Amino acid sequence: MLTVILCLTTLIFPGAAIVLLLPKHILNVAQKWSLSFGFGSAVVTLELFLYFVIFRLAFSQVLVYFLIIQALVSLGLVIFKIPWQRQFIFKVKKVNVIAWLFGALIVLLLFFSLVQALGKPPVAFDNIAFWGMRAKILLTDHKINFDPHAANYLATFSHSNYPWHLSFLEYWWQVLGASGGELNLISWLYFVSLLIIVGDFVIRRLGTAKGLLLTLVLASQPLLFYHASNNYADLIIGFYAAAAFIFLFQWLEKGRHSDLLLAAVLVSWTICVKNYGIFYILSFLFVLALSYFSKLHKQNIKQWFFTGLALFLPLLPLALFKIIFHLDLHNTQASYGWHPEVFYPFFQVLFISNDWNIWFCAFCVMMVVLVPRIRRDKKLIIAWLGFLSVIAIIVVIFLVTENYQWALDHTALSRAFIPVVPISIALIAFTLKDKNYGTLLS
Amino acid sequence: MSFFVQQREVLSTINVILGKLIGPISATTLFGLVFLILVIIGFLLKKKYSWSLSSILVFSLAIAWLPILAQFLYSSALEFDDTWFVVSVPEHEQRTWRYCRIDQAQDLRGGLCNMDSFVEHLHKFIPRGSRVSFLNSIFVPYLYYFNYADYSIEDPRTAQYVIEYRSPASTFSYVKQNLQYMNNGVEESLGQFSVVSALTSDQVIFKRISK
Repeated sequence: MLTVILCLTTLIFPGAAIVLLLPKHILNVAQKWSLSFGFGSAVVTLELFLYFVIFRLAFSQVLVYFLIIQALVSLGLVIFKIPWQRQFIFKVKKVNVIAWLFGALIVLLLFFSLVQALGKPPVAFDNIAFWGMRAKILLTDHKINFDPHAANYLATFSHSNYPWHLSFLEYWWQVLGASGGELNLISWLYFVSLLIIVGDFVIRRLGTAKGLLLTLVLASQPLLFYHASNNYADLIIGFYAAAAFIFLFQWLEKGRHSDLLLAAVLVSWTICVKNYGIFYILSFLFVLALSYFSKLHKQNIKQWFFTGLALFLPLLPLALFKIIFHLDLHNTQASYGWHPEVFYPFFQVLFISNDWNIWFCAFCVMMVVLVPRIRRDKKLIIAWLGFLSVIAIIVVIFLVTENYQWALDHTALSRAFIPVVPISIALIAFTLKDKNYGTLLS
Repeated sequence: MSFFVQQREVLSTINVILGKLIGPISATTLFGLVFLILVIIGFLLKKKYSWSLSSILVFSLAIAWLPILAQFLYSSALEFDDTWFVVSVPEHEQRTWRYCRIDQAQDLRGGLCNMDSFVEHLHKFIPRGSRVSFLNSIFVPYLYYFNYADYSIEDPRTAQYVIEYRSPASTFSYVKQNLQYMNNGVEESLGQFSVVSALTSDQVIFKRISK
């Protein structure tokens, strides 16, 4: 138990310190809670990446002291800065009986997934073969092997081009003494963070009952639920991509520059989690281009410059590393061709399998119903085009590249939609917004 | 009534859960159609009851999705009932329990379920720090993972020990101490080996005698 607390402390408090250092009006309480873990994890894995990969240092106790001191300083900052009395105040009047029921069911599902996470150690294929393997190699060797002829080149036996975020998280937790199901708390906490940030967004737009219902729909998507206790990278990328698109939608709505900066930082981090984060970065750039040419919000050169900085700085170390080591984004040998046979697996995944139960059926109906509303509003058109560009990229990737094989055998297809589902739920709420309901937390 | 095939966890990363067929279509599609019908009814009654667009869509979704949610909660509760007791057991027991369930669900003939005991078996027969190689099989990533800290994993042509753990029968042959290995479609000799231990014909530890 102490180990878990230590692990959480070293990740959550640096993240909490970051969100508390931001100007007060930028984030609401729920967003602060949600982003604390995401930001803290990103900061710690970025530091580990710089330490082991960029500076090529071997493990030293100094690293542990540094990260613990960082957590303690952050903790001090949190104690000093946080308005404690406002953190746990629910606006009870906003919560009717149905909303309580939906909330209770969400908590029940979180409890079920927590038990699964703690009871089933992360030993499924992808974790053993890539994410966890890297952590294991690093724990054993205490440094990364940069000899291209070595079997453990770049601390892996395969897919040396994979990003390091999840591996470093598992590594760091194991350095602190975590093992077995405790490591699964990483993906479970991302699941909780995802539900909080999406839930907050939909509640503010649709009210408590409808918002919690949509959050419950998200929490009960079988594949997402399964990944909450599996330590694969797909749910983690889902968190960063969904959070990025939520801030992007907020920017489209209000034109607040801070929302765009947050969206840029978050979407940038997706590629540090898994290579297909590039899909979301491209869609983000597409939305920016559409906004610019449609003159949705006026931004001066300085604001564009800082947006660019927010987008490129977090991924710069990884980009440099990939360039220097000639690593690309392909998981297997690149090849191109036309593979229309992938359409049926797409249909199976979205409309027949229960991985996403009826969400995609419902989403398509909602999209058709909402077309008149979308057509009347420039910001909705841009948001939907941005979302559809993600879908288009996924389809194209499976249709014309070597990835078609992973669609045909279903290895990766359903998982590729993990980030798409929370974004699509947020988009529906963004489009359906009746009025501003305010937040559930004070 | 069960709407979905409750597939148990398998070795692959897929874990697609197929909607059970109700008549000619899957339950997922059926409830999707129910949603569509509810939305149409909602629109027909919209003016009479002055419902908002969001109310029609969200509550149609709630009604169509309720049976699925009930099914999901039920199966999650069953899984909870199966899982809660392993939360407090040691890590290796958790792992073996999970692997044995996957093994049973996918009929892996104990390849995963016996992983821990096979790794212990290796430790008994192969000195730590030795140079070892694992012949190709679906379990190689697992063997790498569980043996990395104890052995130096190398190419089979240079390894001191070559370990065969449930490889496809076509991968290798062992005749008169000569170990032949099929590498990317080309058969090559790995050298002279003796058998250190053979639990079964597909779980063998070979030790190099000479090149």
